Amino acid sequence: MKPEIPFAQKHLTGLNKVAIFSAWMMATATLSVTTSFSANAAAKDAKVILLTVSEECEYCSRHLQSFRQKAQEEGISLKVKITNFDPAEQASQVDQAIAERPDAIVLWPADASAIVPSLRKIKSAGIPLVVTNSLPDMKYSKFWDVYTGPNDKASGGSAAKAMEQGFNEKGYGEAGDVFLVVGVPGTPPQIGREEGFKQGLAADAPGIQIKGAQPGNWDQTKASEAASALFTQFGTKVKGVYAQADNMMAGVIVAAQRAGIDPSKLVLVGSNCSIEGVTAIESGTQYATVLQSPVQDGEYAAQAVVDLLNGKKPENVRYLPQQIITKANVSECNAAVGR
Amino acid sequence: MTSVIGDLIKQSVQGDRIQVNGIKAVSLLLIIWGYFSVENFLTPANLSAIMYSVSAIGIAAVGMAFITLSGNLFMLSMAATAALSTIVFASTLHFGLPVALLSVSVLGILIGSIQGLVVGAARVNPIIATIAVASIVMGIGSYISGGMTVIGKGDASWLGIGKFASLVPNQLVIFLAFAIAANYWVERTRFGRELRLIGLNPITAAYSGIRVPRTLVIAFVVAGFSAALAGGLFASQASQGNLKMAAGLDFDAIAAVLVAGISIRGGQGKIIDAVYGAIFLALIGNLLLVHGLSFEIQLMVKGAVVVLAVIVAALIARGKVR
Repeated sequence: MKPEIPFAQKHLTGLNKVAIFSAWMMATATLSVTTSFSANAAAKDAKVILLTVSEECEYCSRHLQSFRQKAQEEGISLKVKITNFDPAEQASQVDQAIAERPDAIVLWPADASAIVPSLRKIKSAGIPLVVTNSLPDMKYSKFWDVYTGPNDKASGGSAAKAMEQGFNEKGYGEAGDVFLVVGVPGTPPQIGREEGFKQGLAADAPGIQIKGAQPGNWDQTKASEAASALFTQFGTKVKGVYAQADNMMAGVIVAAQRAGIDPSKLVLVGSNCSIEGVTAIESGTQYATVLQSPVQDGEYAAQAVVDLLNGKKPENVRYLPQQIITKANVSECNAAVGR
Repeated sequence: MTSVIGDLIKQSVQGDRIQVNGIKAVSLLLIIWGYFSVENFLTPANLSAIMYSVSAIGIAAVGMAFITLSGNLFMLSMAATAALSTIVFASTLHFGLPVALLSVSVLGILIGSIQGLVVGAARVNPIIATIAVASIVMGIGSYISGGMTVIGKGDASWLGIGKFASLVPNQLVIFLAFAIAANYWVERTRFGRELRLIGLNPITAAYSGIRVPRTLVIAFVVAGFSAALAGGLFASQASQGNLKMAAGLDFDAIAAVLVAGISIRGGQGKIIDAVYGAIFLALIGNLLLVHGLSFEIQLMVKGAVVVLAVIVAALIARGKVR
């Protein structure tokens, strides 16, 4: 049997080829005009895809809630894709999201380095992009339109200030030993907060010495084990502890109580204003925390996408405020813990 | 016939003692080394830190040992069960600590019995069944809590930081009582002998008139209960529950079971061995921490210890076959 030559191929003369090519060019041009038009359309009824990390962590879940609420207020039609901090799954979710041609994408990177190729893809697809919560390396900043989220280094710096302030208030003066319970090593908040804390102390309170640090992996139980060991190592010489999250500080408090140390005598500085921290500050066992509100974090991201869709050109990086919270102003945390 | 089976069990159990005895000896060496190398190692504070870190994981390991002994490898829903039970514990704490503990116990028994029926009666692969149940349990947990931390309105300090005769943490007392009772049950009763025979050879066991489904359901109920109880212990620390709390419990319980030489093929080892395994791992964990070693080193050493233990177990098993 003779193979049949397809119609198009048979009739495609040189002239036809040129004609088809120019038609294709025109179509593409029209298409890109439509795309950029829809991207610049008002936020109302815009199609936005939010790619986020998890619903099983309190912070993530509040972030999602407040984003959803703000988006609803603005009349955005929102689609949410969740991955359990799985960078590989997130990469394929990004591909899917691009294929759906939304008016904008909001992305919480599961891994701030692994996400870079996906950022590049979104950029070359011409879809406006807001990165939220985890800041990738600034040398890739051209791939996103806006980053909103915490400034972890500033958060660590605020924690250092709180530590210094607590040393004065509790009568330890300007010198003494502290230790750190940090998050999962290598995660951006762990690195940023530790750096900010160290630099803050070195600059303003060089008498306060960091004697040791162990990871509590953002987990209360792990933090309590780590703190127990650090209390064993340094005993009663320890005057303060900086835990990079309030739930880990809850573990530190348990460890202190179990070791027969009164936590209210220590300068305990946590982070985030999560419910564990707020209750511990109210009861006086924890001295301070650094506000990082998941509600604000979600709202900032939503506001950024609204601004983008409304044709404003927001600045490339928008940080959350990182306020020191003690018993005196603990009510500032109410919104963050959903009160 | 019964004496043949009896001798078979005795032999295998005796052969299996090498590894757990090794673990006991090494634990002792670790304590001596700790005493000389760390200034505050044998202080009451550090000893109680070790006791606390062993309690919850030890309880889970005892439960896991039932599953491994029954020849069903591992229960991979323990972390999920414990996580959900932290939430249930915190939500019911305002009725008082006994009610909170009772609630998590019922929860654990329920989740365990479902898996027991699926694996024991329907003969579904235990790994697949328990992973599936883990996913369902986490889903329920997410639904109930919305991913939020639940703050318990009540006092759980008796369990969280309380000490028996102001010396030994209550958590440790509960753990040891549970472990000793469980060990006695498996060593001295018909249920225990049936469990071990099913682990050695489920087909022969079924043909010999052993109550296979019933025994497996009980084993899974015990394991589910122990996971939930471990969750209760975690939650009692600060009267709080959330789904992230028991992460890693599956791995820790499996590691305790394996380093203690409870055979992954089933039927060999004692429940109490899991206790020694858990103590050994807690000692290593504590020593690495109080030496101030970096997290990477801690991970590598812990992983290496588990691999080494499994290799030793395989070598012992091969020696026995010859």
